[in-house]
Amino acid sequence: MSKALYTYKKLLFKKRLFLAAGGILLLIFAIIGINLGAAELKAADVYHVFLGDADEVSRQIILNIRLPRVLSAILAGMALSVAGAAMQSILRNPLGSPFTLGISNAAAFGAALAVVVFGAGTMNSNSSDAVLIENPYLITVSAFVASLMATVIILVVIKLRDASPETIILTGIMAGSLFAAGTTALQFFAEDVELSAIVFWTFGDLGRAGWREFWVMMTVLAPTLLYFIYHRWSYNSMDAGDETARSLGVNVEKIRISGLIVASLSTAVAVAFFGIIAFVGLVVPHIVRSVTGSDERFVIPASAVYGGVFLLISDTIARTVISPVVLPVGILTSFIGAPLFLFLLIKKRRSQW
Amino acid sequence: MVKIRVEGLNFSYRTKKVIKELDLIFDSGKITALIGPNGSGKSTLIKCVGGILPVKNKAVFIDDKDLTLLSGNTKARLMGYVPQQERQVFSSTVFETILMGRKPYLGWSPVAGDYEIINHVLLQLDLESISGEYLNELSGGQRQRVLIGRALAQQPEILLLDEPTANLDLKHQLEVMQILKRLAAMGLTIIIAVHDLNLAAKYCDRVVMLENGRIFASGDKQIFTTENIRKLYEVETEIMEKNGSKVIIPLKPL
Ligand SMILES: Nc1ncnc2c1ncn2[C@@H]1O[C@H](COP(=O)(O)OP(=O)(O)OP(=O)(O)O)[C@@H](O)[C@H]1O
Ligand SMILES: [Mg+2]
Repeated sequence: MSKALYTYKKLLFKKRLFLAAGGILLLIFAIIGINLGAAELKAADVYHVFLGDADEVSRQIILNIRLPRVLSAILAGMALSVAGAAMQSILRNPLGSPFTLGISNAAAFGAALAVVVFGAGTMNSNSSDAVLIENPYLITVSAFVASLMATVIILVVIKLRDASPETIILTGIMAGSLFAAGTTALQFFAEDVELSAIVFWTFGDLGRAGWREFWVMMTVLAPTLLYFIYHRWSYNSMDAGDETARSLGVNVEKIRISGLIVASLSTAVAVAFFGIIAFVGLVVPHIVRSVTGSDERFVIPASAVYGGVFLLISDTIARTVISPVVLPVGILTSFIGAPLFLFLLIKKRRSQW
Repeated sequence: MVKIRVEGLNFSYRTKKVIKELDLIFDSGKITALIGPNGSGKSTLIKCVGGILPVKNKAVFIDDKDLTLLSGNTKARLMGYVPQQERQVFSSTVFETILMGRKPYLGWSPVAGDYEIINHVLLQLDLESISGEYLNELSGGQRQRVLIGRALAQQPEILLLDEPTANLDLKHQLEVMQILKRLAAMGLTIIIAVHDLNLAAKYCDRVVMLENGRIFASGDKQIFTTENIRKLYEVETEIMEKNGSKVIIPLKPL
C-alpha cells in the first residue's frame, strides 16, 4: 500500500471509529434516559419491565412514558440534524439549517394559527403536559402544512430565478421573518391562555412524545436517511461547486431541489410534533464535520447518530434537572448549543468553512 | 478522427450573447489551444462543450452523438473538466478531491482499482507528499495540480482545461504540458484555454483565436503572426523562430 493510501485509510478508520463511538454513546444515554425520571424506579425495576415480570405501574411508566420519549428524542434529534447537514451541503453554506430556511418559524406559525383561529389548545399549568391541547392533531397538521408552505416559497423562488445557494438562503430568511411576524400578530390577538400555549409551543418540548409520534417520525426518517446516504457522492462533488459537480455527472438542480424537499419533510415532522427545537440542526453537523471533514459518507450518518445523542442528553437533563418540573427541551438545546457553537467557531481551522 | 463537433453554437448569459454561431471541430489525439483576450468567451466555450452550461440541442456533438442526449455519468466518463478556479466550502483533502474524479464509476464504495488510479495520478502530478492536506490550505499552483489530477482520475477521452497552468511555477508548467502531450499521443482530445502564447506555440497542435465569441483565426502555430496578435490583443510583438518553434516576445500595448 502506498503512503498516500495508507494516510487516507488511517483517516477513514478514525471516521469510522467516531461513528461507532456515537452509536455506543446513543445506547448508553438511552439506557440512562430510561432509568431517570420523576417517578423513582430502580434499575432493577426497569430490568424487570423488559423481562416482562414487573408490576403494572412500572410497566406503564417505562413502556408508555419513558421509552417512547427517549426514542422520540433520538429520532427528532436525528431528523433535525440530518436535515441540517444535508441543507448545508446541498446549499454549500454553513448556515443551512431548518431554522435559517424559515421552516421552523413556519411550523411555529402553523401551530399558533391552529391555537388562535381554530381554538385547538390552551395552557393550564407548566407541568410536563402543560399545553392542554383540545385537538393535538390539528396543531400538528397545521404546523406541518405551514412548514411545507415555507418549502414551497423557496421552491417557487428557485423556479422563477435560480437555484443558487445565496438565493435560497436569502429566501429562507425572508420567509422565516414573514412567518415570525405572522406568529407575533397572532399572539397580539390571542387570549391569555392561548398566548401561553403558543409561547410554550415555540419553546420546543418533547412532552407530547408517544408511540404514535414515534412511528410517524420513524416512517419519515428512515427513507430520508436512506435518500441522503444514497446521494452522498453527489453531495461530495457539489461541495466543489456546481460546475465541477456537473462535470462529474451530477444533475445539480435536481439534486438540490429534491434534497431540499426531503430535508424539509423530515424537519417538518419533528417541528410539527415538538415545536421549535433550536440549534440541533445547526450545531450537530458542525461538530460532526470538525471530526469527519467534508466527507458526506460520514457527515450524514454521524449527524444522525450525534443529533440523537445531543437531543437525548438535552431532554434527559430537561426532565431531571429540577424534577418534577420538566423544562422545555428547546431551552436546554439553546443553552448547550449556543456556547458549543461559539467554541467551535473559535477553534475551527480557518480553512474548514 | 473527429471527436467533438460544434455546429452553429450560440450561448448567452441571460441577455448577454457570449458565443456567436461557432463552428469548430476538435480531432482526437490533438491539443487545441483557445486563446483570446479576457472576456472573449474561452471559458464559456469550454463549459458549453463539457455540457456544464446548458446548450441547445444539435449544437455540440461528441463522437457524432448529440451532447444533450448523453447521461450525466456518460458525459463524466467521457470528459474531464479543470475549472479556472474552485473554492470548496467544506474543504476536502487532496486525496478526497481526486477521489471525486472517480464519481462516475463508483458503486457503493471505491474499490482497489480506484485507489490504484488515484495513486498513479498523485505520482504523475507530484502530489504524493501532500495527499493528506486540505485543498483550501494549498498554494494556488498545488491546488491547480490537484484539480488537474481529479480530471485525470476520470480517465476521460476528452480533457477540457481552463487555464491549467496559470498558477504553476516554470517546472510544473512544463511538466503539466508534457503530461498533456503524452495523453494526446495516447489518443485523448485536449482543449486548453491559455494566455501564455509561448506555451501554446510550443505544445499545442492547433490554435483557435477567439474574439468576442467569434473565431478570429484558427489553424496551426503558423497563425501566430505579429499582425494577428496586434489585431487580437492590440499588442506589438516580435516573433522569432528557435529550433523550429515560435517564440513570441511582447513589446508594448498599442
Ligand atoms: N456567469 C456569468 N454570467 C454573466 N456573464 C458572464 C458569466 N460568465 C462570463 N460572463 C461574460 O461572458 C463573457 C465571456 O466570459 P468568459 O469567462 O468565457 O471569458 P474568457 O475568455 O474565459 O476570459 P478570461 O481570459 O478572463 O478567462 C464575458 O464578457 C463575461 O462578462
Ligand atoms: Mg476564462
